[in-house]
Amino acid sequence: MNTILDLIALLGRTVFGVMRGAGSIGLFALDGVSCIVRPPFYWRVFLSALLDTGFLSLPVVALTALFSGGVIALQSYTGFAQYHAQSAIANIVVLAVTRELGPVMAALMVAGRVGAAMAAQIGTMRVTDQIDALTTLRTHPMKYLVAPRLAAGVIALPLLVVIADILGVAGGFTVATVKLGFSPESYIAATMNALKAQDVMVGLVKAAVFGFLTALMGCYYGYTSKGGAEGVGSATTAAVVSASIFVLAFDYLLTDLFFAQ
Amino acid sequence: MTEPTPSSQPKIRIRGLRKAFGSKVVLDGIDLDVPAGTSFVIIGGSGSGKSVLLRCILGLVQPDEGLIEIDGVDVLRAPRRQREERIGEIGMLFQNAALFDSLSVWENVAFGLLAPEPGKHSEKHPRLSRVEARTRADEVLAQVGLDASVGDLYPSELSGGMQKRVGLARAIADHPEILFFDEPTTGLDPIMGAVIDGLIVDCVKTMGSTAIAITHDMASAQRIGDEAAMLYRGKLVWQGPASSLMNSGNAMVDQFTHGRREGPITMELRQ
Repeated sequence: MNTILDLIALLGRTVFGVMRGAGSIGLFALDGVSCIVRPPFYWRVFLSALLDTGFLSLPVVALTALFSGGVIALQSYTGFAQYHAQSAIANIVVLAVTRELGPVMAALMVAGRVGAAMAAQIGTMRVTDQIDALTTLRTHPMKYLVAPRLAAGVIALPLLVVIADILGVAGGFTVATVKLGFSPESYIAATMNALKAQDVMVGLVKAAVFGFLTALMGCYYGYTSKGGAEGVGSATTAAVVSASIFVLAFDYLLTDLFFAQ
Repeated sequence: MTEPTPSSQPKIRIRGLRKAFGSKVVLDGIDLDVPAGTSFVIIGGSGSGKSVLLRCILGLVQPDEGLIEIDGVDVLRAPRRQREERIGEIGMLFQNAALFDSLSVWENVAFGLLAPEPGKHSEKHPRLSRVEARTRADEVLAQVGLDASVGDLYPSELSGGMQKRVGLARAIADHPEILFFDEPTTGLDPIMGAVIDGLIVDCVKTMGSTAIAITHDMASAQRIGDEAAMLYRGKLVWQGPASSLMNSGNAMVDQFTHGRREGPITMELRQ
């Protein structure tokens, strides 16, 4: 009997813990968004975050997109060759890259690179009293630290995804023409035929949402970190893991919203 | 009961301040008056509630009960604008200086002068352009004995003593009416500690500010303070002139200031 009660108590504690965490993240997100629209806006911090999230993430996102496009071309060729449907490879590559791989791969790379850095930077500021120092210097920490990073995430990710889309398709094109023997002209024609503005736009909307989620997780876990170096390390891990899970979960929800029949 | 006249009104008035973290009571009914222009030192062991007291006054920690008045304004219950205005008159030197790593020294010093928060600047605390702020930062750096060239360095390039000086420069850059010092000499060698204390005394006297310093460095407490009080287990157990710290006649203060193992203060090795 006691064992059953212990299990129920454990389940209850877990459910309450998850709800408390979700509520805390939700309130933090609302506060962060309200700080974006209420003046002042810290343009210097925003531009620095935009540079870090966008421009400096470019190499890793570009390489990931290039190779992902190539892998899609290679794998779909293996599968479609059995049904003599190799001509569909260009369609598959452009569809997969613009709808899914571009936004998701870019967001996961940014979560690993920038989300972790945000959590570590803000977390270190928390445990070394720098955030308290901001308050004593007439500066709202959420406006100074969080709002510019959230805005940078929302703007930088779609820009990265535009480049990821181009390079992903280019990766597929390279593999298809160099390794699989497709003619460049017919592959480009098939790609242009399959490319739809709606797919690209939905990919960009997804990217904006993923950018917000990635920055939110980095800021939230950094801002709420405690306990010195170990706490900052845990915050960094939690930021990357939770951002990755949120990106994949919201990818499903947005795909269902935009593409479900 | 008569209301105090403005001249007799303390700069900071605290009544019945209580704060607990879970079952751990950190502040247990603190009553304290800090007169304007006084340099007040609070001593006490680690975990006695000194830092929490300062953080409550600054609004960084919300107390459970009690009253905190700055210039007669109840900062716990006043409208947000009025509260921020009063708390904005406090400059703080943090224990580890808490300099912003990503900013240069001069940007750290001038941070409060450049902050663009609406309504937080006034005729007394105008918002400066970056050029004006750099000039002001250089002046304040000189005031704490640092060359203007230090302004272009980053905090990680400075020694502990220099970081404390920069932290002090940042605290006084906007001419605050009140200055808080959290363990100003911790981690410094005795000579650098004396230098920092001297700078603190100079700054406080020059600006006519009211100061509260918390420390467990007795030499520092006597150099900085006019008045002193001792905090033990969340209560103020003694208050008197800082000059009498070493011979207060209070058994707890005597044990603490002379570092004796035996006495009324017992160390909590296990909770």
